[in-house]
Amino acid sequence: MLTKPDPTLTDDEQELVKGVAKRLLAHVHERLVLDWRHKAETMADVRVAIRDVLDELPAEPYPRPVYDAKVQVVFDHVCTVYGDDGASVYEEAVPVPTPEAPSASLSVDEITDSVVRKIPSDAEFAELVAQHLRGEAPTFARSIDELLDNDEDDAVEFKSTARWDVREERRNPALEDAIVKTVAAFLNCEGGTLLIGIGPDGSLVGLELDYAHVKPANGDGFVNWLTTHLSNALGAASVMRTRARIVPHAGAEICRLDVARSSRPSGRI
Amino acid sequence: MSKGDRVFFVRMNNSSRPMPNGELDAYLADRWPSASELAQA
Repeated sequence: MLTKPDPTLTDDEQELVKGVAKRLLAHVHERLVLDWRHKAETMADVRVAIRDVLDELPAEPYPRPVYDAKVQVVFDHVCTVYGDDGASVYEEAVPVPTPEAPSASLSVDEITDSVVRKIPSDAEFAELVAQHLRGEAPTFARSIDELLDNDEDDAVEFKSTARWDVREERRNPALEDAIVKTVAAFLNCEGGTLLIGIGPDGSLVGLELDYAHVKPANGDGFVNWLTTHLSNALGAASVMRTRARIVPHAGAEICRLDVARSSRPSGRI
Repeated sequence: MSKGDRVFFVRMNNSSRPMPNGELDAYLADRWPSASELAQA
């Protein structure tokens, strides 16, 4: 959380940040009391604690805007993860996961060993595993196939194209606006994933039609256009809470855009 | 959306819709209480 998606740290800085993260966890735990989320004073105290501890971060890779963003991200995370009894979801017993399909290079035993070793030392990973087991995995942690196995919902949207209107056979700015609306809505709610190149019924459309209207006419050009388009409409800070990737699917390419919930109202457009 | 309109979009089930103006302040205050407090300060 303190290093993703940025900044990039040297080995020494990584060690320093790890120490800060440990102190942060201890300080936050000290301040979590019953019904803490309903007490403005306690919430303010938690925020101050986060600011104080993160103030120890090295100034070079954490200039003021990055520092402020990290404080907000950590505070949002604490609000989400810690219950009103002050107990963290990290403290729940997490059953050992049993991956159904191993990757090509790892056996099930190797995956199991790796997951079991990682859970006690990586709270975020443990929470993701727990969410998977509860069937509540956030969309960014779901595969394309998992997303396509279900219909669109509050956190999943499919768009056939982003620029080219198939029915009217022309570039249509309304489609570009629709992408912005979806991203803004995800930012202002619980986040979500937008798949571009997938029809509303889950059918494969691919990106070739849109590639003809970006430069260069490929995935790199498409992501570059998408980033600029969203940044112009919603602001760079909002776009920094998104991650766009071109992914192969069934012999074509589609764009996967994962959007995190925003730490502040976003995209009043 | 036409230029000049300022709309706050939210996700409602499987669609993205503008939050009605009459409900927007309450939504913002509920979701980002600290931001609302700052805005009022």
